[in-house]
Amino acid sequence: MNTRRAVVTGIGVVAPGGVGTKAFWELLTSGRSATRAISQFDASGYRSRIAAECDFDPDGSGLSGEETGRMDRAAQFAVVAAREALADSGAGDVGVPPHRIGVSLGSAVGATVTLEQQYTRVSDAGSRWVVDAADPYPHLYRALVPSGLAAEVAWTSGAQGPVRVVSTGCTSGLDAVALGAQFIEDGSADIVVAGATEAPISPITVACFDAIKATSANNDDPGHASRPFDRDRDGFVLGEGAAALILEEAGAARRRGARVYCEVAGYAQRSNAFHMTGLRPDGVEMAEAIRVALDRARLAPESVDYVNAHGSGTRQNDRHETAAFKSSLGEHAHRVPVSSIKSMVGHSLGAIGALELAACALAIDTDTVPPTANLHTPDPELGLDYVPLTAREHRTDTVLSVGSGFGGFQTAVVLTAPRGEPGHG
Amino acid sequence: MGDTTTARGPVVVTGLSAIAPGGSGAEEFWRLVLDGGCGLGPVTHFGTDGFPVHVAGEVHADGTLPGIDPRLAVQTDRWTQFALLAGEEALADARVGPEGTAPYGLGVITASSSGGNAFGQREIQALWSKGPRHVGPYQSIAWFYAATTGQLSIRHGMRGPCHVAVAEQAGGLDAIAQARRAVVTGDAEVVLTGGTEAPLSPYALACQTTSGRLSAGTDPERAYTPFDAGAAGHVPGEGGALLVVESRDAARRRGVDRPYGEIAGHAATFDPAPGAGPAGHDSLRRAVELALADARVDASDIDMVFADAAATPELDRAEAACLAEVFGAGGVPVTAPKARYGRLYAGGAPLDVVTALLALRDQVIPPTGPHVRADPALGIDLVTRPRETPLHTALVIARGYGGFNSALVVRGLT
Amino acid sequence: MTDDPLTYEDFLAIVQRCTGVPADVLGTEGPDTTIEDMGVDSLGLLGVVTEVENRYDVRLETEGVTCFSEIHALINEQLAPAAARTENSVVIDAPLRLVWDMTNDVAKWPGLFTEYASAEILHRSGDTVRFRLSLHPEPDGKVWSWVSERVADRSALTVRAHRVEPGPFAFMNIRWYYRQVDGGVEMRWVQEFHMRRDAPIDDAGMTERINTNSAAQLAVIKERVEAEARSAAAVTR
Repeated sequence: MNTRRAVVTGIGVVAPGGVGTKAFWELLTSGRSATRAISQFDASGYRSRIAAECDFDPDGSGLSGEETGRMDRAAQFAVVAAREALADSGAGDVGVPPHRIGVSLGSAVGATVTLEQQYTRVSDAGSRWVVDAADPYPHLYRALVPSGLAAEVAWTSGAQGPVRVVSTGCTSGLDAVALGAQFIEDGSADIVVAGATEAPISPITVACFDAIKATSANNDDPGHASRPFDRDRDGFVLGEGAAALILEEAGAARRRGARVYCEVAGYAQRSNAFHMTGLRPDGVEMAEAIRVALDRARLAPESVDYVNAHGSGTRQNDRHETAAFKSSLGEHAHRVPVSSIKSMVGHSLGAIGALELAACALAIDTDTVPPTANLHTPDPELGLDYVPLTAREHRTDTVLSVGSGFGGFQTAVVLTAPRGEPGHG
Repeated sequence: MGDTTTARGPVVVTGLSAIAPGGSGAEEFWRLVLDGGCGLGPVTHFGTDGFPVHVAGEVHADGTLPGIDPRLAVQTDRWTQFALLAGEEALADARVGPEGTAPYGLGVITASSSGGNAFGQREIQALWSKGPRHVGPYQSIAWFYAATTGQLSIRHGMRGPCHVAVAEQAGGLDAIAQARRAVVTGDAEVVLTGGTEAPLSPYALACQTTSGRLSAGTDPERAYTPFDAGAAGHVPGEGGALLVVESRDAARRRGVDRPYGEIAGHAATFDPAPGAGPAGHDSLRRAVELALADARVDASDIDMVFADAAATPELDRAEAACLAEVFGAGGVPVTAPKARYGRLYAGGAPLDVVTALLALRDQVIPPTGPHVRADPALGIDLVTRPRETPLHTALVIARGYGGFNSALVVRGLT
Repeated sequence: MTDDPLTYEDFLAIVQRCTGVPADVLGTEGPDTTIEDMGVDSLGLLGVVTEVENRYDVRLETEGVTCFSEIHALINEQLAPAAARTENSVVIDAPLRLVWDMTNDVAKWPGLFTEYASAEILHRSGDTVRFRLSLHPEPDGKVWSWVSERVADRSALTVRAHRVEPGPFAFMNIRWYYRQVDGGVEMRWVQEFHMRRDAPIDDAGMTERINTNSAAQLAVIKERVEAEARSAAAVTR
């Protein structure tokens, strides 16, 4: 029987509303939304012209000019988040050999910003199919293959163990942390920098969600555009950012006296095999993922203290996951607080799952549940406690976080308070 | 990983496929490889004037793929279409259907390296030349790296674990290892796994030129010569392979008595950061040694090695030195059939695994090709003509741009 | 005259391109076959709607729509009432056969009209011809060019034509009518069209332009056909 367990000993975040874990948690507990009019390009011709953007200064975040020159914005986010998490955990300084350090990084769309910007250059703004290959940006191949994102994190963390990008669309962040936990459990690594990054606020990404009317067009009131579980929701708000969690083998973390935020106790991934974007309202595959994740954590549904929802802000999602909660948690679904931080930091595609797990770790750490912002008129069809508007003090030892993504992927991750390791709180 | 087998027996491969330049379908591809036939040729998908690369491994001369429902074709990139064809073949080969497995027993775990290149380029071109309203609805589901896993899951009703591993060329082995893990842990009964790639659109090829690893050769016969003193980069190709993996006992219950072989061991490592000491090959060697340990075999048990075969002098030297340290100089037959059809990135290593399993079946090591003469200074026993010899265990090596190393051991079942 | 501003065939061509439904399926399925039964999902429908909206400058509300024929009807419901109409004619003193043949020989239009720099036949099938017309360059070098299709009905002495690539038009349909009258053959052009909102000129402006231009072109055509008739008569004599 497998006895190696993965615990979280460090957190690093780059998020809309502020860089750093502290600013992130302040935003989430304030119930403010970081959505605004898109500033990264002229979005005036687009259906959705709003996003949750990061005020990110590469220089101020400690990146050198050389690093900024070669890294896509998503890589910059990831490296800055990883450095904060490593510093937070102190795991980089305890003599774990490089080949026992791994990286598992999620991203749904990779280096889109660089790829699109450079495309416009070599194609003469889209006027030619066969591009000009005479003088490309020298780091273009790094942008083409998203594995470059994990390479950057590995270089900054000195990792020489298993290093990988997980790219399962909008569940990438959850799946990447789950894979990192597997590296620990399987004995492939003793420390894993696990997380996810995304910088998707570029014309092509905004346009592709415009085309399927998935994003909110509440352009006149950006602060209230992301409103999961609200009767007046009209789609998700695109976001960006990164989060890194330092995972360590529980015993080793305990022996070195590390501060432990929580344990990655269970995870599961299921798929609806139904449609690339459509969801059946019954949510059975998500419910199955939740049941399996709880089972692996050896926990009953009643032990869940907080559900961090996918809560993207589409009617389809709200019905889907609410049904999944009701069928997997039973009566307990009506008692447990459920909230969506996408109401505040938007939906950063592949990154959001890691940001959500960072929020869950902080919820366990502080016994505080972040709210669902903008939830003024709960959709009467749904009927659960979605923690409207204001954060809530609430004993939080076990958290369930779920994600749902294009491709039909449904992921559930269970985090639990540390079992008697020193340093909690 | 900790346990390589379970109460359900070892994890075996029961279905194969191949989409490759020069020959698609596992058996046709295998004949091409044994014959040393060349699947490389001048790029025909578009004009390469102004490109520093002119030879590639194309699957079909024109861009259309027979056998794809046009309703699916409009919503998928070529890379996904390769996988849809490979998935049909592998599942048919394994005689797996949605019946007879638990509702969540079927999983899909693929590798991706560069996603829906031509599809994405077309839509970005529409955006920049005509405006945002000219981006079609399928861009949101065709360009991203998970498109292939998602479409396979939908096509075949696979509702179990779905995953996408990305580590450039190394990711193909990582995906297969992840599939093995899913079977070992009981998370899935049967997993469709492997990878494909379609890297020959104009913009994707322009991106690749900046890796500094492409061959500028214009003679398809001589453009890709790994371990040769004249090695000067690889030739990119398109295609890949999907495999069906499951536990031996499950295969038996389904009446499959002779699986192709066992996925016996795997490990992945990463090179030191550039400038943080000599590049060397320590991490690659560690991946090989850990994979052997995972498979519970010694170096002397390995009968053949499918090399990564990057075909740049520095990378060839590192791989040869790693093999010499693990197996002794010239201590194991080494082959790289990809020299005849190209480097397929996420599709390359799964195709190597397919080749290795067919080699185990037919007890013959397929050649790197008659066009390669191994540099004697490298000290490797490079197989350039088919070599019949008793074969039981094979090692497949894959390295991904940026420092990714992955090694996988496959073993015949006796 | 009540041609649909957007023909069903042109609409189905868009459906095929956006959704991949094979032409034979679109052709054999009746107009009542549901979109779902054709194997088209919600994204495919969105693709059709967006393409139609982009091309024809309409805004479609497709909530509750189940068949493609309903969408075709919705489009025409919006386009038809918006149509502006012009009518111009000339009497050509020449035999009907000559008038018909010369004015329907699209490849030779650059020599018949003064406005066309080139006429390229793209496709011909029975009485239907698809072609690309290019105007002479404007002073700034801009060349207007578009693809049209015309279906000639010799027995009814009518031709139906429409722009396949509407460009600044939301749609543009033309009917040509020929009839024998005192003094020769009357050739009448009836055009129905509507300008896109983003076009540089509105319906009223285009009406004025067409009326001016048609009169000039009809006069030139009359002159050239009659000249041809005279030289043919001279040869015969």
